[in-house]
Amino acid sequence: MRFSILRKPLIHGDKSLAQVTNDVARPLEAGPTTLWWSAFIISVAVLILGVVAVTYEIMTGIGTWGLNKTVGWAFDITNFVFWVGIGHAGTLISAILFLFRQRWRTSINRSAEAMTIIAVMCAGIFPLIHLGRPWLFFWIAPYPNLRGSLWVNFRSPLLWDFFAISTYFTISLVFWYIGLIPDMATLRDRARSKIKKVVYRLMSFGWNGSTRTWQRYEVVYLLLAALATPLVLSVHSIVSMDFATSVIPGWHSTIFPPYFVAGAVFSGFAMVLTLMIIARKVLRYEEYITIDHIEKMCKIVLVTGGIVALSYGIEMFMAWYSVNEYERFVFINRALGPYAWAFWIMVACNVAIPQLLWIKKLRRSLVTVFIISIFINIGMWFERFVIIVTSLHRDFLPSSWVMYKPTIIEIATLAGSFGLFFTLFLLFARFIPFIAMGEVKGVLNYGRNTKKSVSLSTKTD
Amino acid sequence: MVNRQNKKYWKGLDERENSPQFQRVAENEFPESLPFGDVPDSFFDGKMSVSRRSFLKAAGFSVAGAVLASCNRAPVEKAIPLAHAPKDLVAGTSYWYASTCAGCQAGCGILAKTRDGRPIKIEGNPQHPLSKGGICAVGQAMVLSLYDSRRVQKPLRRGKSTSWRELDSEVPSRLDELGDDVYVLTGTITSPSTRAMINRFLNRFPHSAHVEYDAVSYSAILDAHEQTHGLRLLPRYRFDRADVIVSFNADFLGAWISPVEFTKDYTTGRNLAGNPPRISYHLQLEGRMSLTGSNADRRVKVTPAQSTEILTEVARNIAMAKGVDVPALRSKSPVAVDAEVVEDITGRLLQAEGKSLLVCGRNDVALQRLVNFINHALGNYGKTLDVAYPSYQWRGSDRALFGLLEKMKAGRVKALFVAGANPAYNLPNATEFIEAQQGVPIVVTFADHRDETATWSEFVCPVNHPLESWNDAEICEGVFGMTQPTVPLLGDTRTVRECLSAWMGEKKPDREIVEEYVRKIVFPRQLGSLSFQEFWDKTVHDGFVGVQPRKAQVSSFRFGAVTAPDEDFLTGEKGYALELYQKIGILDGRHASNPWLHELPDPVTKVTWDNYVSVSPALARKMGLEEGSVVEVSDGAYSVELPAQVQPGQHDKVVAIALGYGCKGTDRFSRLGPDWIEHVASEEKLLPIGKNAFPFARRKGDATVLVGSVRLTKTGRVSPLALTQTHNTVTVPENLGGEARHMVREATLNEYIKNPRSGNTYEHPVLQLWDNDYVYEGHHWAMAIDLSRCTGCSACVIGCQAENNVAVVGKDEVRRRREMHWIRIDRYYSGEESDVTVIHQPVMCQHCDHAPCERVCPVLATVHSEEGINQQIYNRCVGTRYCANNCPYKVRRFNWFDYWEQGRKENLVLNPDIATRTRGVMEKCSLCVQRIQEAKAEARRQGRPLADGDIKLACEQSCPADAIVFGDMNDSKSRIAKLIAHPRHYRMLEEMNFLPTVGYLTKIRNT
Repeated sequence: MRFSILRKPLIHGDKSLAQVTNDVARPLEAGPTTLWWSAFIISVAVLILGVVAVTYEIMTGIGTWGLNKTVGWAFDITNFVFWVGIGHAGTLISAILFLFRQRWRTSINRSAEAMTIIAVMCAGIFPLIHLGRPWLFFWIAPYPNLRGSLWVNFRSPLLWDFFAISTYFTISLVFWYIGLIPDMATLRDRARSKIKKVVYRLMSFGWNGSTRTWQRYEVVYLLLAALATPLVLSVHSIVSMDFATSVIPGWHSTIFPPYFVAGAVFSGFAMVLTLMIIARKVLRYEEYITIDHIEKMCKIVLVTGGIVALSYGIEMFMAWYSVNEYERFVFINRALGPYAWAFWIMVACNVAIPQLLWIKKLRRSLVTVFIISIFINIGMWFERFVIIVTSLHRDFLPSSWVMYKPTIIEIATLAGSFGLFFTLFLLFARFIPFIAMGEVKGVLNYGRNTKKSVSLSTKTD
Repeated sequence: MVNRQNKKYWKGLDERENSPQFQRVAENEFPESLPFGDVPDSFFDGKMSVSRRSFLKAAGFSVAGAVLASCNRAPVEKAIPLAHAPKDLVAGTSYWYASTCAGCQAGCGILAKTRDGRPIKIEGNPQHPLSKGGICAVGQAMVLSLYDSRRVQKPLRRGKSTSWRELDSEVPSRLDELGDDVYVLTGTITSPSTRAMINRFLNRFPHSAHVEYDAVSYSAILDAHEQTHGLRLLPRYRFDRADVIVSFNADFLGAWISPVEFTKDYTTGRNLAGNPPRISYHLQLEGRMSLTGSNADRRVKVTPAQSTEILTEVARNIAMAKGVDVPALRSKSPVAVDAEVVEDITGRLLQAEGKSLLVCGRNDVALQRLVNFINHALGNYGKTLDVAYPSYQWRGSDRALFGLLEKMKAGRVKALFVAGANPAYNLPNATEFIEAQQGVPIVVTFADHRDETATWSEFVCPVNHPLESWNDAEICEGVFGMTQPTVPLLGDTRTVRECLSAWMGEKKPDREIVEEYVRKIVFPRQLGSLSFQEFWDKTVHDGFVGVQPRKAQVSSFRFGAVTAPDEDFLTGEKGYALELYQKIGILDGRHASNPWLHELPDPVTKVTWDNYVSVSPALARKMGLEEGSVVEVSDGAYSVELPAQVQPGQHDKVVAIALGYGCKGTDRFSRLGPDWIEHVASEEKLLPIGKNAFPFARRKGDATVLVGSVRLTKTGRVSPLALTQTHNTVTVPENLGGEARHMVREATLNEYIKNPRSGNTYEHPVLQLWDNDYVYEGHHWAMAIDLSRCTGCSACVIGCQAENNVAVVGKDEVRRRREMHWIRIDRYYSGEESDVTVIHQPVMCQHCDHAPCERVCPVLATVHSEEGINQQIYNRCVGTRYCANNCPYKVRRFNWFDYWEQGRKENLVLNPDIATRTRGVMEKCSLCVQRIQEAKAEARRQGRPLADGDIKLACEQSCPADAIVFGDMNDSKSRIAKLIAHPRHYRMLEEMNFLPTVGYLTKIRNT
């Protein structure tokens, strides 16, 4: 392959193949740092808080949440949609960018995908614990049973959700794991302790690095990427149908599927940015996850943020244009009603603040990008809160209008989901190569002077 | 001895004969070789061929089997003990017993439904001449108080349990010692047999009297009639005959005299079916917003002083118009009042002479005399109100009560018997009463709870619940009501009659006393010619009997008695007039131990579990009050701190507080509700629910008036009200668009006469993707609710609660907007906040044929029946709450916690036809599917098709206004089919194409 010398290298620091291996394996082989331990302990503590809250909720009743006769969902489904959305960036990076031959993805795809899987785990908890009788969750699955001829309701978007999320999780996990196999083999080869050797051997499925293995690997990877690509679009489309197919003004909207997908990618990339900016610093991966990577992701954030902003506008326009009094009211109520603060947080975080990324200087400033990414995370959580709560709390019959206020149990549950997320992510960073060595090695040449270049072979050393 | 030794006993002929065969059998009595199925003999012969392996297998299997068997809780089999079962009583079948309601003195006819020997539901008796099948919330909730675990079960002496035997010897002997000055203080006793018994008991003492008083008194009406008509009586009001109704502060649809009877009559007089429709004109003058005021065609806000002035002015105008010269009205010069109001009232009354009715809710004799004068001058006596055949529902005399109190204070009362009253709580000067009764040597209280009076008395005689008793009731002249027990006594209780009879040394069973009274006094007045047994059976069976009425000999109207009312409650610069009223359900506090009634939202304010100070929006703004801001209300002598409630339509100078709160024993409710981390008890300490407002009442002449003048002080604290509705209009807030929605539709009578569809023209094209996508072949159940008839009285809410085992959730849960009522009454205001009009709209599951809830349930826990009912399957529900979110009417109710507690005595009230719902499960109105099934089964049993009206839903049957009609819309002859075709019929959110089967009929106002 020949690359234009005009292109900038994707990986800085003139890395050799061995250096890449060393760099990536270093944090795994060295013992955990104090920083890691402190982060881990905090995360686990928050996770335990969440576990206590959820246990209490399951033992006592959904009444321990602030829900009421009119607002039947609030934090639970907000968190669910938020986490599912976070997951989207990983799959987009690993699958869609792969298909589009965006080779810069190699530095971030492993961690982004790990983030996806963990985020989907976090998301998956909420539909379970939000049930009034969570111990009967399996009734949502269509399986042959002895309860007469009881079957599930295939018209219910919640059922579609069940399929969509479980499929998404399965494919993401498989896809991520397949990509992990060559790296596992590398680690196996480098492992000194016996236990590590055994574990990595088991995990690398007998990888031998032969050309045939590589060829099969690449085919499988491509096929899985092709399989995962529609899922990126379908999962959040289906999640959005929980709302879109209902009759509640503010929910009942055909724009929801694309709007939700764009929002998911938007929030997912923001989360990737948040994590990468920390990780590259802590793990000393600045040469792998370069400022160019950050900038590229910022551009995706800008695009998807633009779609989200446009969707907000279109929703507002449609509410006005539809001449539907209920629809109109919901949107006026969002902007001016008692939850206006949440709406304006959402607009500020998702529409206003990301516009700063148009400025090149800012999107190449790590601090700025980090802060912006945090704002987007907050804004996207509020987006779901606004959609769910403001639509429900004042729907058709004014007699049933109410206000919703979360309880400490709900807040602890939300915190706990972050605890779970960071706990798992920290474990991931400790035990699994944060960067896909095998893939990064393939792009070492990119943008380099070929004379100076290392072998184009992607073979592991 | 010898003989005995020789005597030989034998067991059978075989033994006696001692045949060889017998000997062989006898020797071999316990044979070794009994066959053990197909277990090889080697198993038993010592040479065990069972291997260790198979032994362990067998042992393991037995252990596992035993463990498995013990994993399942053994089914508890409950037998129904019916040692003396009537021969035709079938377990699991409902039996209905006609009786008379004792929820208040109005004495409506009821039918008590019993299942397996326990009453579980009270409904109206359709044949009853007064209530005509209607029943209020209180009446229906009475069944819960039967199973109240706090009822006094045994006689008490100084707070300690004792026995009737001890009381039966102690009380008479103590009375004999005293010998004189024995008084019986009761609420109005509508039972003639009890009254006779009390009189007989008291006749033995030279100085004795039976004093009747009512906490919320109608004494002034009776006294005024004594002065103007010569007889102390309460007229029977006939709202159905009145074309013009003018009410000064009388909440006759809510809690005044006989609300069910009046609601029936009122809605009868507002019938749109005729041509032209006859619909009475109702004008209400009041300071607070009462339920009656909320239904008025015109409502005028007045202070108590203004209403006195307007009434006087109306009387003067009518006197002038009729040319009657009343000196009292002549002398006073006209005062400055709203002339337009006076003219309107006078004009309308004069147009409807003999067909008008003016009532006044103030217990002020002077005012009532004026009312009598006006009704007399208009010729209403004998037409819209009857003194010749009066009502006996209330006959308390405040004057007699004051007299008794004086005697008590003077130490001239030796023995005091208190029954059906709680003077230590509900007298304005209760502390004086408590002090005075301490000087009374014997105080005996007949009570069902350890209430305030019971606490202070030496002897407490626990009384039967009305559903456990025989009783009679003369409600009005010519109507004799009968009460029969529906369950054996649950405690060691007696009726007042029984006690008195025992203390007179007769000790007759209660039934005998009642039967004897009926035989001697009532039977001779019978209208037919039945034998006594037939008469008795018929009376008990029907729950009432019509008897020969005796015409009251009233004198001709004494104009001289009419005087202009004197001083009134003028409000100063900072002072406010206080109106005390009875909240529907709680009334004067007699039902304060009934949690259903505490959780019943007030029909107007929608507040549960508390009383509060209602203030007008302008006053709230002036004082900086919000809903729930705690205010100190003080009249100088007494003060309470209560949360404020901002009431549109209230007079700016009037504040209102409900009576009947702060009762002893209600502290048990202050922690009611699920206990969890954020649970907020309604009071920090165990305090009663609400505050007692009776001390604000004051004596005016010979009557206790429930009006005072108070000052308000803001305390700065906040105590959130437990509201079930927080947005009060169908108009969205002004800053959010301000558009009006079309949940409720209304028109004026004139518009309606011109165009029956007026007010109902909000139309939106509704297109169907498929015509007849589902055809309902058999029944297609539907309901229509006539908003013109519905008064908002909330009887249906309790009816539904009793029928469908709806849980009580407590104040904290209501504050969190989690009440469980399957039917709610939405109340919307319209117009300016100072002068609002009100509309009440009952809302339950609308049973949409295109139900949004059904589509979204992932587990098919809510599905549509072939008869158009939206069904909820509790044990399939996993609790996603998606259905509730997607319900446009927000009628679905979720079990946030386990609201039911096992092992409570109160659970005996549960309807066995309905499961109680566990936590995590959605529930909602089922259109009383159990009643539909029961009616279908009954029709099938009788081999006939189901007729229209066979099925009456719980809400429908209770409605005193007959506003709810249920039926099969596939049956073109049914009432419901006709209503659906009616131009007034509409469905909520029709344009959304949910196809609800519950519809509404527009409200027609006579304005």
